Amino acid sequence: MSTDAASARRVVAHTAHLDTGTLAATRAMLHSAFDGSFTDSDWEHCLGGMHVVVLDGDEPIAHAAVVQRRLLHHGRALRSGYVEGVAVRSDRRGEGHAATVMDAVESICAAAYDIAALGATDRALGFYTSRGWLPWRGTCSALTPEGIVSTPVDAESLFVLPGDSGIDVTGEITCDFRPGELW
Amino acid sequence: MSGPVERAPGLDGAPRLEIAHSAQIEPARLAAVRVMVEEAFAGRFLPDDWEHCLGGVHVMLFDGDDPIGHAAVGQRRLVHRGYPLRAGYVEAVAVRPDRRGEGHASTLMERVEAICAAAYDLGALRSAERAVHLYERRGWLLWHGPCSQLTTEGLLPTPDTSSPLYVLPLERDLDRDAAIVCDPRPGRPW
Repeated sequence: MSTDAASARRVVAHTAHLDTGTLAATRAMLHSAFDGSFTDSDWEHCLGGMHVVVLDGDEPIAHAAVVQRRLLHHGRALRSGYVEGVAVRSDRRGEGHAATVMDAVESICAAAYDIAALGATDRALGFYTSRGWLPWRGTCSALTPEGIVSTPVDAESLFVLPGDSGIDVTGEITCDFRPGELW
Repeated sequence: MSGPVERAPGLDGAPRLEIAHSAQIEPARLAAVRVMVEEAFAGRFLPDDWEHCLGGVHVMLFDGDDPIGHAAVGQRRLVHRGYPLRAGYVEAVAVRPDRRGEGHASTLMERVEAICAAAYDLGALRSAERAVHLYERRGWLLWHGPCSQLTTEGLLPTPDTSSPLYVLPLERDLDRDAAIVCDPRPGRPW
C-alpha cells in the first residue's frame, strides 16, 4: 500500500452514488479512527447527503459527510448543511487530508445551504477555528415529539459557518429530531 | 466543486439526463431549471417551494441547454411510531408542458426511486391530483393516517385532501393508517 500522500484522490458523491464497497470501507475506517466510539446511529447520521472521501487506491483514508437538517433560530427554519463523520485514518494524519475534505465540505455548504454546522471533538476545536468556523456561544436545544428539550453539553462543541444567514451565535439554536445523539 | 455525478447522453435526439447535488449545478443552469418548474406549475409554484428543492439531489432532463424535466430529492426526518425515519422527500416533479406524454416523468421517477432506495429509509412526496395515477402505477402508496408537523408550538395537524401524501416503502415496516409527522421548514409543511 502506498504511503505517498500525492497518490490520494478525492471523491465527492451522494450516498446513493457511492458504491456499497466504498461505503462499507468508509464506515470501517470511521469506526477505527474514532477508536470504537463510532456508533450505528453515528453512521446513520452520515447517510442521505454528500460524502467527501479521500481514497488511496481503493482504501478510504479520510472522510466527511454533509447532510441536510433544519436548524431553528430566531423563528426561522434554516436549511443547514450538517457535517458528520469527519475523520482521517490514524496512520495518515498530518498530511493535510482533513483540510482536503473540509475544503469540499465548505464549498458544498456555501453553495447549497443557509448555514453549516457541526459538533467538534475536543482535539479538532483548533482546526475548525483556524478555518473560520465560529463556536456557538448561546444555548442549544432540540425539537422532539415531546417538545423542545435543552441540550447544554452540545453547546460546548457546536461550531457554525454562518454564511449570509445573519445568525446570532449568542442566541438559541434548536436542531430537528433524529435517532441517537441529537446534535 | 466537481460536476454532476451522471451525464447520460441522449440517444437519437432523446433528452440528456443529469443528476447532481444543488452544490454541483452552475447557478445559471439551476436558475433555468427553476424557470421551467415555475412554468410547469402554471404560477402555483411559490418561492418556498423552490427552497424545498435545494440541498439535495436534482434529477434533470435537458434538450440541448433547455431543461424539460426535473425532480428533486431532499433529506427530511419523518417521525412514525416514535422513530425519526430518514426520508428522501421528493419535490417539484415537473415536465415542461409542451413535452408531456413522452414518458419523461417516468424517466425522472426511476432515478428518484433508485436514489431513495440507496440512501433513505423511505421515499415520500405530496402528489398533485393529476399525478396520483403515475405514482400509484409506480408502486407509491397513499398514506391514510393523520399528518402533522413538528413545530416549536407542538404538533400542528396538516390536513390536505387535495394533495395527498404518498410513500415508497423500502426496508422499513410502515403502518399507513398510523400518524406521520414532518420536520419544520418554511412554507408548505409537506
